[in-house]
Amino acid sequence: MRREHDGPGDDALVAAVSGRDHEALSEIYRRYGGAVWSVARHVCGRTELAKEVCQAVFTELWSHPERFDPAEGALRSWLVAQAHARAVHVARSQGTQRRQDGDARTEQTPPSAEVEIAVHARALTDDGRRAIDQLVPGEREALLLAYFGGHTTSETARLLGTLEDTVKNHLRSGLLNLRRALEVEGVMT
Amino acid sequence: MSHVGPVSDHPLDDLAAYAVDALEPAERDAVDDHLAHCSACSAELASHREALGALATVEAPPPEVWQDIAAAIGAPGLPDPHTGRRVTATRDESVSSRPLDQGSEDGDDRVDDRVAPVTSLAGAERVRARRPSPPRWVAAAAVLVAVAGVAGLVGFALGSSSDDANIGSLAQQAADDPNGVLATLADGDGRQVARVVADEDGAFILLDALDDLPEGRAYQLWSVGESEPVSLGMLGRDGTNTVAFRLPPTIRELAISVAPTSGDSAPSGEFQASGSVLR
Repeated sequence: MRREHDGPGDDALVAAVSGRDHEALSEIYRRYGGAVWSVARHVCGRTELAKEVCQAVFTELWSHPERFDPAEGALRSWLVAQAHARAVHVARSQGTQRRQDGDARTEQTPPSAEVEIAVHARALTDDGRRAIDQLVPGEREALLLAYFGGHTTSETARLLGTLEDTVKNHLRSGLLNLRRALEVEGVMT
Repeated sequence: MSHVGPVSDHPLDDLAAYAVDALEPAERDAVDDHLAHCSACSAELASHREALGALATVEAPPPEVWQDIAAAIGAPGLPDPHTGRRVTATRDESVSSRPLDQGSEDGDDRVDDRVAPVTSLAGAERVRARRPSPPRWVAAAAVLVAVAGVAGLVGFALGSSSDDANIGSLAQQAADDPNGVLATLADGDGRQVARVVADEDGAFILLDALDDLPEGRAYQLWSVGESEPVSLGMLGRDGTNTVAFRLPPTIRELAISVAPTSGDSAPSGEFQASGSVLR
């Protein structure tokens, strides 16, 4: 990714967090709180749940900064990945709870995959939309349903009327093609 | 230790599904085991995550998120990095639906949970735009079906300070943009009396044709619709005025009432105007 911030590098900030530097965590939150919040909100849907996810990501970084390994990628993408994993877990737990509670809302017929995909596409940045629109058929749909919809590969396959192995294959080729497209857009290097 | 072996030994498709958190627990554990000894797959995972992290729009979190983080790390007075504000109010469950945080000059941002002034033309603060944010797909799908063509709402957070002329100028520029008008508010006779506009710098309400109110009374802006009306702040007593305000992304219906200058905790009397937020 392009360097987006002046001042100390992310690695230095995480090191400072290890030294219990409140200002360092504040600066990390300033840089990436918006990205973490957005993913949490898109996946959780409910604001209250997204708040819990966002708070957990940063308090976890405060408690265990050693879990971030700079060798495994940039801090921004690592934090977003933590948020996504937590959000998916929360969203699925909520779905399970509702089914166990017999929530009447689960009886509603869900919208079609096409409508759901169209909604998820609205979560994209302009660059992200241009990049994802360049993917081959199947890749775009699998990525949007799995990533923003929080669906498992088996759920995604059912929604798309295809095989789970096909979904997994589309996810990989889609992610590789997405990266290339983002590089062309200048979003990534 | 790096994994050595043919490409077929690497669970590359499962790794992609792992990157989007779409695997079942047993599959995820298998990928975790592989990642523990395969640097090539760790690198591919990092690449996947970097691409995914660039997809979503970025929006400022609600102030209470930082408030809770700061409290959890033992620094409750640390200002919100996104607003520069130090919030000392005790958090409670009403905070998420609380109207605009309007701090005083000394940095004490303790706010009335029920009534807060909208940023007034005098002493206004410049607001910064956030990207459109879609709601959860289940709810949003219904919106898509029922209101085809209506784009997502726009949320805003307070930013740095601005002067009066700047607010007026920004609002007028937004009003001149064909896509800048988010809502028109009409009175009981269907006459347009106010517009809500937005551009990349913020949201503003332009009171175009309301009556000036007597001393002691003021217009109050409300979010209405799904639940109890929530005050978005005070608009002053002038019938023609421009005010910057925070428009959270969940708000769909707006209304204006007449209230005491200190504001009402619930709207009293009939609304003077109302309208839907269209984008």
